[in-house]
Amino acid sequence: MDYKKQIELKAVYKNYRVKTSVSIFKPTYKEIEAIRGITFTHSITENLGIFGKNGAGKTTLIKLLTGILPPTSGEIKVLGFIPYKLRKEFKKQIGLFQGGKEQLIWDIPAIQSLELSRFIYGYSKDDFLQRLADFSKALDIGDELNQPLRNMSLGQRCKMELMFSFLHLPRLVFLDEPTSGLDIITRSNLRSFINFCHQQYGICFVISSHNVKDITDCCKSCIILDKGNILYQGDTYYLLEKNQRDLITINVDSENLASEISRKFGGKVNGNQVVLETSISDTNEIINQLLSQYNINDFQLKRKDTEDIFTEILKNE
Amino acid sequence: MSSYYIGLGKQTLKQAMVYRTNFILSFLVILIPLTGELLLAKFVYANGYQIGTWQLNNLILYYISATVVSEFFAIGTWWDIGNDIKYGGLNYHLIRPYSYFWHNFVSYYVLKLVYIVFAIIVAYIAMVIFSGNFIPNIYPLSLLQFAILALIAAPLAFLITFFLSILAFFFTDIDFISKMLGILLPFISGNILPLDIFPATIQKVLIKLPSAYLVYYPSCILVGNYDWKEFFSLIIEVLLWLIFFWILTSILWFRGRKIYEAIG
Repeated sequence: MDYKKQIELKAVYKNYRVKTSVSIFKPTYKEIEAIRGITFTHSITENLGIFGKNGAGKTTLIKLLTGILPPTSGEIKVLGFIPYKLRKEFKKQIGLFQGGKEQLIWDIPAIQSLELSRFIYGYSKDDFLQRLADFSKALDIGDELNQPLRNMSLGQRCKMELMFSFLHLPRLVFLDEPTSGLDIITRSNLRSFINFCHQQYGICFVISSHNVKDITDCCKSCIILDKGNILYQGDTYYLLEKNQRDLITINVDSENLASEISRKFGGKVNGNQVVLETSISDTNEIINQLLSQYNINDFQLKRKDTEDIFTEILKNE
Repeated sequence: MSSYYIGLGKQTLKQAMVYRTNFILSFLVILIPLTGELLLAKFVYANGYQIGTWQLNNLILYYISATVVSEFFAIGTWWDIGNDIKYGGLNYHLIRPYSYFWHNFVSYYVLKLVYIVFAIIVAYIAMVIFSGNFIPNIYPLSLLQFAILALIAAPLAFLITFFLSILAFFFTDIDFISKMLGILLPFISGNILPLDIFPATIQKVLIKLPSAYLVYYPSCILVGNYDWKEFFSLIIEVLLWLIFFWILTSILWFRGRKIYEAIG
């Protein structure tokens, strides 16, 4: 694999020193391991999602990959560069968006603030206007461009900040909680926009999020982090398929029958009701067996949603 | 990359215009102490006294110059930098292909330039109102020397400000630095009184501090008290301070980045 087209981490640790007591003379500190020896390689041909609970190490990982923070130990290479050295050539090829952190000037019209991007990265005004038109169309932005950020809603501001992060069309963009605090429509728009930029401009996104749909809708690959460790790294669809389950809720006439079904097929009994959890490939077979062997009053079939699957993976750890 | 700093300068200028009321009103901060100083000087000389070896006209020019340059070459902590470090705004700057130092240098001085234009107007009005028919006699040579010194003093003033501001890497709150300097600087820089009228021992120390090169010396040069030999030795001293703070700031930045928490 071309090392200039990949993200590579080898036994990376990141510790923070945190003050645990306030004292004029002798404050005490303790070390917290935010990242615990993680190793992985990812090709930037596809987007990468980073999922995990609060404090799992997602944002720390993004900061290590962008070079904002140095690792305590281990090796990191992104696009062939050591991020922490923050070489100019590296910085030209990346973009960063941190949800809830402003980078644009609040008091002047957004378009003037966005234009700073072309001064920073040195591209022409024509390119700037073209990209702005394309991005605005994809994000459904109109006259807001001529308003100062201070007069915009959170969603509008978020769109502007997001645009600014990759108007220079970098190879790799890091998005840290891009949809945090946004309504479902805006979240959906942003996800479509990310996919549009990936397909149209070949930008690879590394997305850290609490929101499962950000990962499943935009990222072919994903990492699940828990307490600084990697629980899973690989194909997002494979992960979903492997852990996909159907829930069959069966109503029968008696508790005895419910218990008998539970003994044979597993599941939880609740009065005259049994809830079975099956892998999706077995669902049809099990329903056929139940209907042919028992007197079933009625049953409901529900497929677990992606959020439940990710939640369970984290809970099981 | 220079196009970035030009673009940034233009944006900062636009931003400054948004706060024009604040800008205009803040000139009262210059006008009031300057008026006091000029009235006091007039009163002292009208009663037959003299401040050091200064003639009244030269002292008036000194005060006007000191007021303007002390605004332009003010040192302290800049809340933009302090906040970037404290709240993690520095993250964005670190990953962009420009120098954080020069980025702030441009923003800082563009705002100062706008301010200085108004400050000169205010100083001129004060001079006309409170100093009667006094017309300052500034020699072209003094102006040239002043311009050369200003070109070196500007980076020195900002370098000290940058140095003080990045102490935010090590302290949770750096407001105390600005408060302390706000009280101390007018005395030690020569803003309230020319440094040569202080007692000899104190004077010896004060005229070698970096603050003297930012207010006292530029104002003295404008009054026209320097020949080229004196001027060049002055320039060498400023350059030495510049190198000293450059090294100190580089070390502090390097160490600060190591412990930077990148909050957020």
